[in-house]
Amino acid sequence: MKVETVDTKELIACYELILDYLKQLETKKKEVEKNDEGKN
Amino acid sequence: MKEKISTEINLSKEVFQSLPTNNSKNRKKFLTEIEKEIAHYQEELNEIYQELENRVKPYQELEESHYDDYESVFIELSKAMSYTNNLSTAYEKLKLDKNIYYLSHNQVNNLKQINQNLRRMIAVFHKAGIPLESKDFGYTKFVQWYMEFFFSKSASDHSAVEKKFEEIYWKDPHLILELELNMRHLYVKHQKQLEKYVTKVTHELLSHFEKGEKNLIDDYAFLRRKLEKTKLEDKNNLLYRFTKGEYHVEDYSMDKMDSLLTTYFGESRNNKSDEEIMQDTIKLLHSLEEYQKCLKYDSFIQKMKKLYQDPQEKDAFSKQMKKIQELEKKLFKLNKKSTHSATKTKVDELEPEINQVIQEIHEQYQEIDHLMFQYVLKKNMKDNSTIFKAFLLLNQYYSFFADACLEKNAQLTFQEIDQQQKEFAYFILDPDNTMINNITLVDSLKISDVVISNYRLLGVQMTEAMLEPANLDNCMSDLRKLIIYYQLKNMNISLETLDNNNKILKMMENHQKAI
Repeated sequence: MKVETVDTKELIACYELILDYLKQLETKKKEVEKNDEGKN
Repeated sequence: MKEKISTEINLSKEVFQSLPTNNSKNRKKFLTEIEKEIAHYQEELNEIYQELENRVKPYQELEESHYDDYESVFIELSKAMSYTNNLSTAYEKLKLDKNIYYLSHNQVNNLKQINQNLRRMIAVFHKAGIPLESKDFGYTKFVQWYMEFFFSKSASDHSAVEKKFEEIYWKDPHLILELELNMRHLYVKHQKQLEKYVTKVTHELLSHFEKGEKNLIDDYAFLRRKLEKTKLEDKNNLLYRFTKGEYHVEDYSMDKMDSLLTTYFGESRNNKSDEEIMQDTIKLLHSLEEYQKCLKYDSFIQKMKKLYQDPQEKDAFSKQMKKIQELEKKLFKLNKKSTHSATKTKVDELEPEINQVIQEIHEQYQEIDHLMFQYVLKKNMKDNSTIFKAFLLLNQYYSFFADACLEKNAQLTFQEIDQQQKEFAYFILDPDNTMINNITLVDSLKISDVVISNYRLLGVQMTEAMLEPANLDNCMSDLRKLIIYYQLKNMNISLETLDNNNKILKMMENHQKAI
C-alpha cells in the first residue's frame, strides 16, 4: 500500500475504517474463545 | 484507497461469517484465521499511523514565536521618552517620586524593600554627582543612627541591618516616615543639580536622533506598527495556535464567517474586496480596544477633568513649599537643642515637639502631592488639550497614577500597580489610537457615539448595544475571528488541513492511551 501518495483526509478515513474493523475482529475473537472455553 | 480497503473488509467479513464454529476443531481454525486477519490489518494500521504521524510532526514541532526584541526596544524608547518630555521634573524623571511613594505607602513593612528604595535613591544622587553620606541624613537622631549603620560596612549583612532597624524602630515608630521626609528634603536641597543632570542625560539620549524627540516618537510608532504587521503575517504562530487548540477550526467555517460578515458589514461587504474588509476589521477592532481602554480609564479621565476645572489658589504650590522650609528650620533647631542637651529629661521634653513638627511637615507634603498634579495639569493643559496629553501627564506622575489605581482596588500590590502602569503606557503610546488623540479632556462627548458614527461612514454596522461593556468582549472576539479567517486565506492555509491535523493529534492521543 502506497500510503505516502494518499490524501490526508482519505488516510484518516482508512485509519478509522481499519481501526473499527480491528475492534470488530477482536470482539468476534473473544466471543469465539469464550464459546470454546464453555464447550470444552 | 478507502474504497479498496472497504471492499476487502466486506469480503473478509463474508468469509468469516461463512466459517463454521460448531466444534472445537472449527473454532481453533476460526481463531487461527482471525488472528492472521488481525495481524494483517494491524500492520496496515501501523503503516497508516506512521504516515499520519510524519505528516503532523512539523506542526507538532512548532514553537510559539515571541517578540521579546521588540518589547525590550519599546521599554528603552518609552524610558527615553519619559526622560525627554517636558511634562515632569527631575523628581519624576529620576523615579524619586516612585521610590518615595513606596516608602510612604510601605505596604508590609518590608525592610528589604525599604532599603532597596533607599539604595536606589542614593544611587540616583550619586549618578548626578551628589554622593550622599550619613551626615546628609540628620532629619532626626533616629534617622541619623540608622543611616550611619546603613552606610557602614556592617550594612552588607542583612540580618545586622534588620536588627539595627528593629532596635531603632522600637524607639521611633515613625522612622520610615522620617527617612521619607529626609529624602524629600535632600531632593529640594539638590534640585538644581539634579535638574542639570536630567538635562545632560536628555541631551545624550537625543544626540542619537537627528530630529530630537520627534525622531524618538516616530521610531517608537514605526516599530509598533512593524510589530503589528509582523504579528499579522506570522504564519508560524497562527498554525501553532490552531495546533495547540487555542483556536478552533469549527469557529471559522464558511457559514459562521458569512454570518459575522453580515452582522458587521451588511450590504457593504459586497462592494469591498477581502483585503478592504480585513483592513476595516482591523481598524474597527483597534477602535473597540481603544474604546474599552477609555472605559477602563474613565475614572482617571473624570478625576483629571475635575482637577483641571477646579480652581487652584495662585502660588499655592510655592506657598506650601515655603511652609515646609519654615517647619524644617524649626525641626533642625529642635534637633540641635536635643543633641546638645545635657539632661535626659530635657531631651524627653523635646521629643513630642519634634514629633509634632514632623507630623506637620508630613501633612504639608501630602497636600503638596495633591497640589502638584493639579498644578502640572493646569500648567500643561488647555481647554483644547486632548485626553492623550492628560494621559501622558498622568503616566509621568507615579503617585497620582498609583493613588488612582488604589482607589479602584485597594488590594493592589506595588508590582500590580507597576504592571498596570506599563500597560497604561503601552496603550497611550499606541500610534493607531484615534479617539484619545482627538477628544479633549473637557469634552462631554459620548465616546460610543463617536465610534458608531465614524464606522457608519465606512459601511460598518455598529450599534449602541454592541458597545455595551457586557457585549464588547464578544464583539471584539468576533472581529478577531474575522481577522484570523482572512489571515488563513492570505496564507493559503486550508481549514481542512487544520482539521485533519487536529484529528490526527486526537488519534495519536487515543493511540497513546491504548498502549
